[in-house]
Amino acid sequence: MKQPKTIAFICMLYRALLHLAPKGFLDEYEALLLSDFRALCHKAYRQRGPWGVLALWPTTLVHTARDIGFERFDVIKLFFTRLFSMIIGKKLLPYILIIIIITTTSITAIVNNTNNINVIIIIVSMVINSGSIITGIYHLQERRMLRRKSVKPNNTTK
Amino acid sequence: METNIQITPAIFHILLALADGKEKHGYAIMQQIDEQSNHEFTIVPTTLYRSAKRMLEQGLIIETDERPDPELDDERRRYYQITSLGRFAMQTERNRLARLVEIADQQPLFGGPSYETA
Repeated sequence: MKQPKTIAFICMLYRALLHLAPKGFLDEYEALLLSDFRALCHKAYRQRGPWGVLALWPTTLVHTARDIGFERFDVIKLFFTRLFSMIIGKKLLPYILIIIIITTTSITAIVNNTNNINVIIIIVSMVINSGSIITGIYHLQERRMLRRKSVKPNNTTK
Repeated sequence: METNIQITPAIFHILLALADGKEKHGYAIMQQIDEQSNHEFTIVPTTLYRSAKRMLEQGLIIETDERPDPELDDERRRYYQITSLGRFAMQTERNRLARLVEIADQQPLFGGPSYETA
């Protein structure tokens, strides 16, 4: 059955809008969202004709944009939650604090000595050095953990 | 007993739409909400499925596999049914709203006693 042009156009817009949503949400719900929205459009068309379908659009646009925004925010929130749990789980918090302190100190120094290029060079090298130290410590810890894991089975067989 | 579940207006409307215990798909829930709110509360598909996702995680509703007639129905549709926790959350929210109305009714604006003593 051929659908009216207004419905086809509005559904095309809706589909384009949905593609701003996170991939995980789209994979799970895109087909359902489109079919339900199409059904809503058909109902509006039966009741009020093409204007009924067009009248549906402003509310849908505002609410859908808001929902997509919230869904994106949820994804970002989940990312940071995982990042923080990783930082705490790997015991990297003290090193992160050192970086924050160094960065704060450098910003203060830059603000106070805007013309002194030497200070900036020293601070940048400090930040880079601290970064490499932290990476080194992180790798060392990982190696230790791997060693422990590889040692454990031998202990249990004894 | 208190629940830590945050009941948004959309979730409350979905729970009310499913309160009769029947399984309903997304579009039917939207129609029911439109009808029960006298077209005053609009729920768009994204709000419905975002809320449904959260409600499933919290155990307020479940997804059912039973379908009325596969030939008459779109097989992509998902059917939802309210759980006992969903009923409890709905009752708790209803009581909260009733208490809120009671508080509002005590205000002079809504015909309650005036607190002006001077």
